[in-house]
This record gives sequence, C-alpha cells and structure tokens, in this order.
Amino acid sequence: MTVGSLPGRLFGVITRRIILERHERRLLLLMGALVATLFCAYTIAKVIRDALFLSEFGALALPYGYIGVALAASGFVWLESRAALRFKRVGATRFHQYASIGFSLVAAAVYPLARHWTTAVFYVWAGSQAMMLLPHFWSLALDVWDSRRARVVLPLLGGCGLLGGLLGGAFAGWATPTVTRVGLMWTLSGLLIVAFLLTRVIEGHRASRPRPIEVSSTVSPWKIIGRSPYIKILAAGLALSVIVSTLIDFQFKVYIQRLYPDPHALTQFLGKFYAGLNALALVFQFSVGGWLMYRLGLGRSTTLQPVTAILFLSGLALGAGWWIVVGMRWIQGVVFQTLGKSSAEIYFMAVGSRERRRIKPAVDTLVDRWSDAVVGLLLIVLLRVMGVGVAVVAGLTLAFVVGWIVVLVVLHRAYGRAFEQTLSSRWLEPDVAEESMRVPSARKALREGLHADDESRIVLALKLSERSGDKEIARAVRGCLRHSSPSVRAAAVEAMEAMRLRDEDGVIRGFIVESHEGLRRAAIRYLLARDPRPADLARKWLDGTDAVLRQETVDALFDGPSEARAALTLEWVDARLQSGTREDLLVAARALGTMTGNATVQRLRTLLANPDVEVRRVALGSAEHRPSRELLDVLLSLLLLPEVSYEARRALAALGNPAVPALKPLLDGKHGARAQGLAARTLARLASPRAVGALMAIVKSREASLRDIGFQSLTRVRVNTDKPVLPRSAAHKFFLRELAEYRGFLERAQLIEGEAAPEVRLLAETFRESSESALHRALGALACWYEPKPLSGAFERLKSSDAKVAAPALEYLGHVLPHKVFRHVSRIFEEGPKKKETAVAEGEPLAEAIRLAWRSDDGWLRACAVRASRHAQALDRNLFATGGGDDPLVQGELVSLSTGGKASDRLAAESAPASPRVAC
Amino acid sequence: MLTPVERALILRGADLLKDAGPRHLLGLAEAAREIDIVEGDSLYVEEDPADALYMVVEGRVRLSAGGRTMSEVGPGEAFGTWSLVDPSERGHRADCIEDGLAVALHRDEFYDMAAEELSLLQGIVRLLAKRLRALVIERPDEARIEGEGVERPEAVMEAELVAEAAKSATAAGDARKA
Repeated sequence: MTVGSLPGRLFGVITRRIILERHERRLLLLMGALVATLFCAYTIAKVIRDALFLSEFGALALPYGYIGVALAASGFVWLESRAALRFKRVGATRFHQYASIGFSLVAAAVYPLARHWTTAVFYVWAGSQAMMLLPHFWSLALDVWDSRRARVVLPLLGGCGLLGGLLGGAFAGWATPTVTRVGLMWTLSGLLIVAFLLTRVIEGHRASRPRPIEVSSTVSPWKIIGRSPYIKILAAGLALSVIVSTLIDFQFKVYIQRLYPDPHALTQFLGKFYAGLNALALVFQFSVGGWLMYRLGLGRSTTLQPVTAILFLSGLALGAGWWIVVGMRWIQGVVFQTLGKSSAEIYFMAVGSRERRRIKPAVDTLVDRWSDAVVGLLLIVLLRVMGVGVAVVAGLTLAFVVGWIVVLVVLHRAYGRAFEQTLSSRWLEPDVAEESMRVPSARKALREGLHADDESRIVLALKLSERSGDKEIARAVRGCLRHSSPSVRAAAVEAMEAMRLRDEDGVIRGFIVESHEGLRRAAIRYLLARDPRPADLARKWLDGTDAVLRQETVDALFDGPSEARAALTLEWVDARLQSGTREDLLVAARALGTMTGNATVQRLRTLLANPDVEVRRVALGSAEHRPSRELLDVLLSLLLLPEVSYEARRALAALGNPAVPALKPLLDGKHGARAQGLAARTLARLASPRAVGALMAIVKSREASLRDIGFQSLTRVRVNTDKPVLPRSAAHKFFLRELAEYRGFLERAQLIEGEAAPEVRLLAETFRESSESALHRALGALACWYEPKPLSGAFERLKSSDAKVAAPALEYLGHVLPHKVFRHVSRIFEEGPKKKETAVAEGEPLAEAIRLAWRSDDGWLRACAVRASRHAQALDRNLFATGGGDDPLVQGELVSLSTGGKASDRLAAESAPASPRVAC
Repeated sequence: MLTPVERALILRGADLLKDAGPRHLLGLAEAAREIDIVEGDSLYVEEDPADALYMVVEGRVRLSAGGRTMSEVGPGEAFGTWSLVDPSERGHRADCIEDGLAVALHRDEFYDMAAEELSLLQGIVRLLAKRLRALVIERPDEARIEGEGVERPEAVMEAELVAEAAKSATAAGDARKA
C-alpha cells in the first residue's frame, strides 16, 4: 500500500460506511475541497489581519478595530440584503464571493503602496465580510444534501474545514519567510478564486427540496426576544461568551506583541498558532468533545468554557512561561470553538422552531457584532479615557467570567424547564431530537419512552433512538424486538439498522416471514445491511420460491445503494423477462432501476412498451432512478398517456437538460392543449435554467391560454427552488400587461351583466372568467419574483367585488410593489374602473361588448359573441365578415346564425333557472 | 348538430353543472354526445349502472320505477345527474315518449376532463358540501358521521340524568331544611 493511495483508501472506507452513490462521492470530495479552501483562506486572512494590525497599530488599538468590524459587519449585512433584492439571480453567495475576491486583490496590490490604511481596511474586512462566506457554504451544503445524508456528511465537512484551517495556518507559519506577507495576500486571493470556481461547479447539484410550510409572523424578532425570559437569558449568556472571548483574545495579542516585535516573526508565530489551534480542534471534535458532552451533561460541559478562561487569565497573571500561556490559549480557543458552539445550538433547541427561525439571526447579530463593539468601547474607556493598565483588563475579564458563570447556572435551570415543555408536546422536530439526545435528561426520557405502554409513544421513542449511541437505549431497543405489536417491532428493526446494532439472538431473521409488510421490509433491509455477505443473502432470496420475498428484496435494493446489489444481474433479469408472468415482469422492471449501462436501457425500453400499465409504471420509476437519454423518445410518447403521464413526467425531469429540446415542440399547441400543459409541468419540474428559458418563451405568447400555462409553471419553479425565476423588472412588465387585460375584460363584463338572455349571460360570464384568468396571470407574473404564497391569497381576495375583502391584498401589494407599479393597481381596485370615454348609447352595451369580444384572439369568446348577437338589435352583422372566423367554434356559430331561428327556439326553454325536478 | 355553445348552454341546465365556468362547460360540451331519442326506446333500465348524465333538447322522456311513473322530463331538463359522482345502479328506467334529441355526458369523459381541471371538481365538491350541510341542518341525527363527535350519545343522557338527580336531591334537601 503506497502513501499516495492512503487518502484514497481512507476516502473509500468513509464513503462506503455512509453508503454514498458514486456521483455523491465525487460531490463529497468537491465540497470537502471547497470547505477546506474556505477555511484555509480564512485562517490565512486571520493571520495576515492580526499580524499587520499588531505591527502597524499595536495591540492597544484593537478596541477601535472591534468597533470598526461591528459597524462594517452591519453594513455588509444591509448591503447583502439590498443586493439580494436588486440582483436576486446573482444571489447573496455570489455577491459575497465577488466582494471578497475584489477586496483581497485590491489589498494585495495596494498594500506595498499604502500600508497604514490598507492594514486598517484589511482588518475590518477580514473580521466582517470575509467571515460571511462560511454561513453561505453551510446553506449550500443543506441545499445539496437531503436531511438524511446531511446528518452524516456535515460533520465530515466540518472536519475538512478544520483540516483546511490547519493547512492555512501551517502555510502562513512556515512559508512567510519565502513568500512574505504580500505573497500571503496574493495566496489568499488565489484561494478565494478557487473557492468561487468550486462553488460554481457544486451549485449545479443544488436540488429543489420542499421547504417547511411556514406561517409568516408579523411579530418582530425583538418582541419575541423581549417577551421570553428564557431567550433573554440565552442571549445574555451568548453575549457574555463573546465578550470574554474577545477580552481574552485582546490580552493574548498584547502578550504576543511584546514577545514578537518583528512583524515577520509575528506572522510566522500566528500562522503556527492557528495551525495548532485547528489541529487540536480537529482532534477534540472527533474524539473528546462528544464524550465530554455525554459524560458531563450540558450544564457542566458548558461551564468548562469560563473555567478555561480563568485558567488562561491565571497563567497570564502569574507570569507563566510562553508555552503555558499559548497552551492555555489553545485550550480556551478549542473549548470555545467546539463545546461552545455545540452547547449554544442545544440551548437554542429549547425555543420553539418557528420562534427559533425568527430570532436566531437577530440573536446572532446581537451577540457576534454588538458584543465585540461593547468590548471595544469598554476598552477605549478604560485604556484611553481612564488610562488604566492592561492588568486591570484582566480583572475586568474575571468579573465578566464570574457574571457569565452565574448566567449559565440560571440558563441551565431555565433550559430544563423550557425543554420539558418542548418534550411534552406531541410533535418533536428531527433537528431538536438530534441535539437533545446529548443531554442526560433527554436520554432518560427516551428510555422511559421505550418502556411505555402506549404503542405510538414507543414507536416515536424508537425513531428518536436512531440518533443515540447510549448503551442502555440500545438494550431497550433490542428489547422492543419482542414487543407484541408488529409496528413496534418494525420500528425497532429500523432503529437497530440506523444504530448499527447486531441482532445477537437472531430474532430479526424470523421476521421475514411475518404477515406484517412493514416488519418484513424492515427485516429485509436490516439483514441486507448487516449480513457479512449481503450479495449471497440477496441472491438466495432472489432465486427462492417466495415471490413476495423476492419482490421486497428488489425493493430494498432499489431504495438504497448496497453491496447486495451485486446479486442483481442481467442474467437474473432476463430470466424474469423470459418467464413473462406479471409478477416477474414487475420485479424485473424494478431491478433494472438498480443497474446502469446500455443493456439495461434496452430491457427498460421493452418493458416501457408492455401493455400492462403497472409494468410500465414500475419501469418508468426505474427510468427515473437511472435516467438515460436513449429512452427520451419512448418517455415522450408515454407522457401523453393519462394512465402513466405522472410517472413519465418524473422520468423526463430526471433526464435534465437533454429533455428540454424534446419538450419544447409540445409547447406550440400542435399536439393539443393537454400536451402543452404536460410539457410545461415537466419543464417546471426540471427547473433548470434551460427549462426556465423555454417557459419564458411562452409567457410572451399572444395566446392567453399559453401564457396561463407559462406563468403557472414558472410559479411552480419559484416555489420549488425558492428563488426568483424572472428579473424583477420583467415580472413588473408582465404584471402590468396582464393587469391591463384584466381591466379590459372586467369592463366588458360589467357592460352586460344585468341581461336576462342565457346567451348574453354566457358572454358576460366568459368576459368575467377571462378577467379572472388575466388577474391570475398578473399575480403569477409577480410570483416569479416575489414570495408566491401571499400572492396566492391576494388573488383570492382581489377576485371579490367587495372592497373590504380586497383591502388586505391591496395593503400587501402596496407594501411590496414599487410606487410606480402599485399606482396602476390602485387605479383599478381603489378608484374603480373608469367609465369609458366614448359613451355607449342607450341599448347598445351588448353591441359594444360583442364588438369588443370579436376583436379578441379568443375563439370561445368570439363564438359566444356570435351566439349573443341574436339579442343585439343594434349590431351590424357585417362585423362578422371582417375576419376572425377561422376558428371552428366561431365557424359553427356563424353557420348556426345564418340558418337562424331553430337554435334560438330550442334554447328558449332554458332561460329559466335549472329545474329542481331532476331524477337521479 | 348542436354547436359547442349550444351544448354548453344546455349542460348548464344540469344541477351539478350550474356553477361551472364557461370554459369548463366548453370542455364538457366537446366531450358530450348527441343522441337521437325515438319514441318507445329505453335509454336505460333499473339494473343498468349509472354512467351518464342526460339533457333533453327536444322530445320527452318518462322516468319510472316498478311500473310507477316518477316524472316526465322535457326540453331543457336533466336526468341522471348524479351518475357523474355515483356509479350505483340506476334504480329506475328512462323511456322515450316523444321523438327528439338528448345530450349525454359520460362519467369517464367527465372525469378525464376534471382530472385536468381541478377547479371543476372543486366546484362540484363545494356544491355537494352545500347540499350535505343543508341536509345536516334539516336532519342532524341521521346526518351524524360515525366516529365524529359523541360516540355514545347515551353517555350524555346518563350524565344529564345524574345532574338532574343531583339537582333534585339538593332541592329536596333545601326544602327539608326550610
């Protein structure tokens, strides 16, 4: 085994353990490289920042830096929100990346010419905008990985980040004599560019995941914080941790500046210091950290932070040696970075999820930015105004530490009470469960739940146990294998699979012949995952006589990647295909979804043409799982068949961009309105930029029905991807166009609504229906940029003629739309449609409405106009000779009109309302 | 042959479709078929599954069950409306008593169209819910859904009896004290 193959083997072991598909392994590698690059860059930035600032301004100027960073951070957050509003397609991530690359390049270029100011600006930038790249990475990671994978992958990525930080620090520490500080700055720029390129590659893997449905609250986050004692204590605890951390950092920097007066030596030291810090954090995070939290519990492990702070302060005060001071600072930094962050997340979990989402950004703002600024102000007052020495700062820090300990004690008690309330609710969110399992009291509650009398409580406890590593819980989970309820036993098997527990008594093997389907399936999945030779086991079941076991084995292999998939071979599939029975065809179709290659595609093609609908459905499911361009033609033909249309749509969308050119021709209407709708829905599901481009083309069409389909599909994309699909200006333009059409149809409807004749009422209703469609399209256009959910509610309200009903919708639109766009809305809905300037003569409203309808592009509207003309004495029938009679609907009516009489007599009886005398 | 507009106006006469939008009616009109009805013909008998709604355009149809005439349906009137939502046996027969023309809308075609137009189904569900609500108000005991609300109405009655008895005992006690 060569050294070079070691990382590869390690990577292979890790990815096999967490069972990733092949394309996911590549993605993991890319994301690991990205996060390592970001942390490497950020560490180098910190080294440069601190070294330059200490050399140029001295440690005593740091308080000004803290205030500058706080102000700059707030400014960048505001700028980000403005940029996101204005350039939503670019996105906040892209904005930060461009800004950071720009800043770093300018700094590297300008530093040799203007050291003083460059140093100051660099310090402020590195502490504010540069930090914001990291949260965007985690947001991207959560978009790329589904929640199940994220639980396993994100800690790995965290480790990659720490490794990157270690490398960055090491590079800064050892390469500074060679590259100098300016060289480090250019290196930083290079790393940021690499990170940008990696991000572009990874963004292509972003998936649209359904977001939790949130009811937006009108309560400000500060009000939520203000009325909750627990949140106030939590915020105080977090703020104190930042204050103490910043004070310690300040004193450390004063200390090292005295030790390293030479700027290059200082840079080298800082590089080695951060490398050491990251190395220790890496080891701590993956070994001791979790064990400490588990053993000591939340309260005691959190208290370790102020304890390490006291140790550091003592080391400084007693004039301890350099190694001791640096060592204490390392320990303090590692404990704050690892235990501190984890415990903060756990304390947050006691806040309800909706409130948590609202207040977390506000608390982070308060804690991260303004706590630093408070420290800066305090130090300026002490050192500059009052002229006290740095030793007094140590005393002040100690006072803060004592206050912090008091707050932590109060916080922990309050947490216990708040957490009890959360646990006693019937619904526990997965993210709450994961973090809360670290707490001894939560584990106790779980053990009690596993021994409860209520079956549903046991099942919930078993689901939560999946994330626990506790031995007693594992024992209790095994005990549930003998429960009388099959649902409990099934949940126990699933928990054992997730916890990787061995079935020492061989109980689970007996479950594969149970009558309960869920239990059988769970047992099959467990045995395939845990058996030392899973492929042999799978083969035994696949070749056996039990058809149900065979089917369920194939389903298990389909659902997740596994070594057992090797049991499914083409020969085996061919044998099933040859037998020709329905069950065998279904199982063969499913099995093909686990394989790749040309031979698989040919077999799938055969099954997709099978007359049995269910066989085709299953084959389409496999085609979705294993998309292949070679199946495009057959998938397109299946798209139009009602019985398999849904599955065909999913399979086509899985193909990605290659499906777009094939779907575009269906949008032109030559294959009918149904094909148009299906093609548009498929493109919406695909949601790639090319697919969106194809949909954009139809929203500009002259045909209202096509624009309807286009806007509905684009709104679907908007909802699924949670990103705007049109530029804001285009959304406004389309909105105003449809709004004008709405107004026109509404005025025409109002002209003739009071008429009694059924044909005229039909025409009026058609106008009104057209106006509603136009309004729907108008709000659909807005939904391509703005939040779709409120606009859906706005549409329902604006349909109403009651001003009170429409008022909240108008209020909302007035709030979100720019004034020059909203004034058109206001004119129509608040001022009311204007009376037409050209006065309509008495008795001529119907004639006028018919003339206006005849001018439209809508065949149905024109046909209704012709029908209604029987009642318009004032109308000149020569109007209908002026063209627009090509539509078959219109032609039929024109012919009927020319024959005259018979149709009217027949329908005269229908002028009364629907007869109540109907027999069922 | 009727034009689609004519068919749409005719279909509007059916109770279940009276609130359908014009374009929905157009879709249904295009799916509906015209049937010439001849005197003496049976459109369906009691045992036939209900699979289509009929609208008389011209002529007359007699509806009867067990030899007894239930009603006669003339131009502009519908019968078999509920076959759109209920596939049970007809339970009666429809015989043509005067030559003419009818329009038939089959349930399968109705559902094919409704599958593409959710709002059409929503409108019908709303209408059915309105009818059900009216029925519930008229006959609340018969309309109660099993498993909803009070499962054991007798338990409520027992509780009321106990409360009444307690009240009476208190009143008697008070009277004795007085």
